[in-house]
Amino acid sequence: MKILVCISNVPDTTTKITFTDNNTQFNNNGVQFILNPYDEIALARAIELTDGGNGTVTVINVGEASTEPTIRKALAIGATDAVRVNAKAHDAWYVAAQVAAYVKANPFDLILTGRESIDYNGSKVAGMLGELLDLPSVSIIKKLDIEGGNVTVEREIEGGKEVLTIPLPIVAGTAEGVAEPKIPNMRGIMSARTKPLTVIEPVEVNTLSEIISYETPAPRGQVKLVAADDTAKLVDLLHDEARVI
Amino acid sequence: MPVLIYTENAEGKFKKSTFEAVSYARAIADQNNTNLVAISIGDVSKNDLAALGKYGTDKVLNVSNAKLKNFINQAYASVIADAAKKEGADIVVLSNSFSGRGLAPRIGVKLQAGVAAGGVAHRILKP
Repeated sequence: MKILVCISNVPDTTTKITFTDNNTQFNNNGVQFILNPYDEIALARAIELTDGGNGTVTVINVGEASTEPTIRKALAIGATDAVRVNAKAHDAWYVAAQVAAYVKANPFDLILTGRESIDYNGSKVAGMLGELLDLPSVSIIKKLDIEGGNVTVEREIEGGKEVLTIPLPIVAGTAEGVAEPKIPNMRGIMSARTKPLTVIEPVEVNTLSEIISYETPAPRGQVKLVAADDTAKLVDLLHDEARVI
Repeated sequence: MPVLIYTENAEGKFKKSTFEAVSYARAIADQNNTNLVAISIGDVSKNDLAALGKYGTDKVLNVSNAKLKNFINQAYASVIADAAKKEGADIVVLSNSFSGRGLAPRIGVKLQAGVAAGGVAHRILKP
């Protein structure tokens, strides 16, 4: 079985987010970048499914050379080999188009992404890949098992879950519960240095959207307490200050 | 060119989040001085479909087919994208539900449209 795991290089969760160039660019000065945590879950499940010589796990990243430490971490965790598309990851559409171009030349039985990246939280790549490759896609799954040529996934829905069985190949976005992230061991770290990491050039992709500017959320105001029986004051505050009625 | 809103239902009933999404889509349609068309998939009653008018829809499309009884991302995305093309919609709105998050990227690719996930406001920027 050949599994492809799409990985992205994202700011560490403790990063203080600031913007530069008149709030048009993310300021990555001094920022620590990590493997997207949801992609780690996807990678862990892929390694479990191919354990014992049952297949291979390729990781693919769209990014410039600065993403290679993250790619090497994925190799240390247990991926068989890696591909880096040598381009800045402009947006989800750009990333999906690059990965789809690679997959069309190199088919896989299963393609996994994290449910979303923790920087843009778009949940778009899995669905876009599915559409580009004309494959079924399930964007947010909590469980994934394979038997024969079918995959059984649990999809999260409001107030519950839905269980689907779909013939391979499919694209799926993994959430918590699919697998426990793996910590690279010393053997993995050593072998990551020599595992294949192929760099390929990007294909031409049209632009579908553009980020005009970024802004940080407004700071939260102080809580105002209103006596339970003072409805007149509550109404005034909701009308005059909160402007919700 | 109208705005198209996908009105998601659960077992034939619209949820509160669907009506919220319709109200949001209505506001977008108003900003663009255009109509709002709703597309519903599944066995929703005529009364419930008509009730979407109270939330601002000008037209409601309903697709009911045994093959679409259960949510299938690929199929639903095709139906919604086809509706967008037929109605000439250049903005498609979906609720930020689990299904909506699965559909929006596929619809975006089909229509070659940018996808903005988790929108909380909509502004028209003057060129």
